[in-house]
Amino acid sequence: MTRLTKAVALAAGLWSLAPAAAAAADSGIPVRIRVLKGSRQGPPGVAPVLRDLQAQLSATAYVHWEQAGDLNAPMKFKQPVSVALPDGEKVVVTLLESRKDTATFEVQVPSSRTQSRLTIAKDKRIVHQVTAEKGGEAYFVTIRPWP
Amino acid sequence: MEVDDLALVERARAGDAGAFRSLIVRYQRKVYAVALGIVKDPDLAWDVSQDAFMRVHQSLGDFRGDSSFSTWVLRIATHLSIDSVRRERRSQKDDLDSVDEGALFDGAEGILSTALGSNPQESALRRELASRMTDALSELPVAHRTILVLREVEGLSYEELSERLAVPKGTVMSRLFHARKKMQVLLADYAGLAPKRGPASTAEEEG
Amino acid sequence: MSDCTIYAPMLTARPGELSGDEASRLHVHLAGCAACQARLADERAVDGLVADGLARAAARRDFSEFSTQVMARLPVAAWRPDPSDRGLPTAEPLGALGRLRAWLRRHKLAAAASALAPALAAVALYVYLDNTGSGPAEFAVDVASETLAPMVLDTSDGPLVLLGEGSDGA
Repeated sequence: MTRLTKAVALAAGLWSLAPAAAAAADSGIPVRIRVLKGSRQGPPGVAPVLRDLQAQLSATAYVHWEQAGDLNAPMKFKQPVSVALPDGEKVVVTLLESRKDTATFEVQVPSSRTQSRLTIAKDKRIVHQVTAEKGGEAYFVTIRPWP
Repeated sequence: MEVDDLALVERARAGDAGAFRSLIVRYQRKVYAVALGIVKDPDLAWDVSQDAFMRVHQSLGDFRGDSSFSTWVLRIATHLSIDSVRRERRSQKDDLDSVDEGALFDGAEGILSTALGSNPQESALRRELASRMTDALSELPVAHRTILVLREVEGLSYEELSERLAVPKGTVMSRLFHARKKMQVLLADYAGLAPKRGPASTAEEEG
Repeated sequence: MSDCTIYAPMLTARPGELSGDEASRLHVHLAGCAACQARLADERAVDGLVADGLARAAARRDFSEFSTQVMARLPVAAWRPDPSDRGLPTAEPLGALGRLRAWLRRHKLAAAASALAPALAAVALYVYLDNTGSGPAEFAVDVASETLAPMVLDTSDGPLVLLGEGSDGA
């Protein structure tokens, strides 16, 4: 895929989002969800836009990281967001609840019947693998509340 | 240098990571050079250099532009370098700050200038001496390495040295004299120039 | 005591660093002292050598990872997202330490996968994190997968959930 095609793909968006009404403070919080691809091949390194994840990504076996999607929008409580992955699969992310400075998410990967429930603090982020490794590559999502 | 330092600092202050990275890349070797001169060990110099840029980052808001960025970052680098050798410093006495006859006459006056010839900056010998500089510096006590680096690389004046090191100007001058003398004796030795070592060359005795 | 002990240290003074009086006395001394003239010649010959030598040592060293290492050590919240960062810019190296850690994790993961039940692999992990002075808070991570063996790693930036090979062999 050429650089231009990829840029267009990103701009077009890879996911569907529940109708985004203006989120009042008590109906949701801002969340940033990004899709990442990790590979064992390719020049070792993290794309500049992913630099803030470097510590978490370097704990994996994948040496080359690119971003494949980025969504920064308010999420409403208990409203699932479906995130399409470049390989045709999807991930469903739901914001379950939030307290003063923690937020709880559910991450579902239908294809492997994986379900995770994670609570994290305001300045941390979740990095969650969402596809099994195929051809030395795997997709991840990263979720950050109050980005 | 397409974009000048002050513009990069402004952008870095505003949160532009690329601008800060550019500043690092621009000054990393200069910072490393001063750190290496003072701390001796290359890996420690690497760490101190990184610490210097982290300190720069923390203090970006304080940088006013009344000195150049280069001056500012080098000052931070030498400050951190001196801190990191504080223990080595304490275990070495501040020796030979006084210049006496014994320190002076070793018969080596003029050896280097003769060997380096009428165009010393261009000579092959000079390049060879430069390549042995880090060896020579490591043989000097830390107080002498430090004052040489502050003078020769950071470029401080006698007055600034006097302030920085908290010693009178006379001590600055004599300490520099000793540091240079030792450094030159070592270099001449490496280059096979000095015929013999006289009473002034104390490098071996002090280690 | 010869005058050289006073004047030799003055030889490397820069303009303005000696008083008018010192400078003229130095001048007089030099006129009659061959040893100090030779010392002055030496100083001129090695002028700038310390800086050159250190610059040379710095030039020899590989700095390709330096800036990345510094950036990685800076607080994350410091940077605004770069609007020009779209598509696939050049990647930066993770470094030898990152790769080693990754290799170790990979082996841990394989070991855990083989120890887990094939039908339903669940990992529950309670991670205690100190949180802004209000005492340790409890953060829950609960991962279950029917086909892939999950492993949760706690990092200083947050949980990392890895999925292993399929339990029926992939």
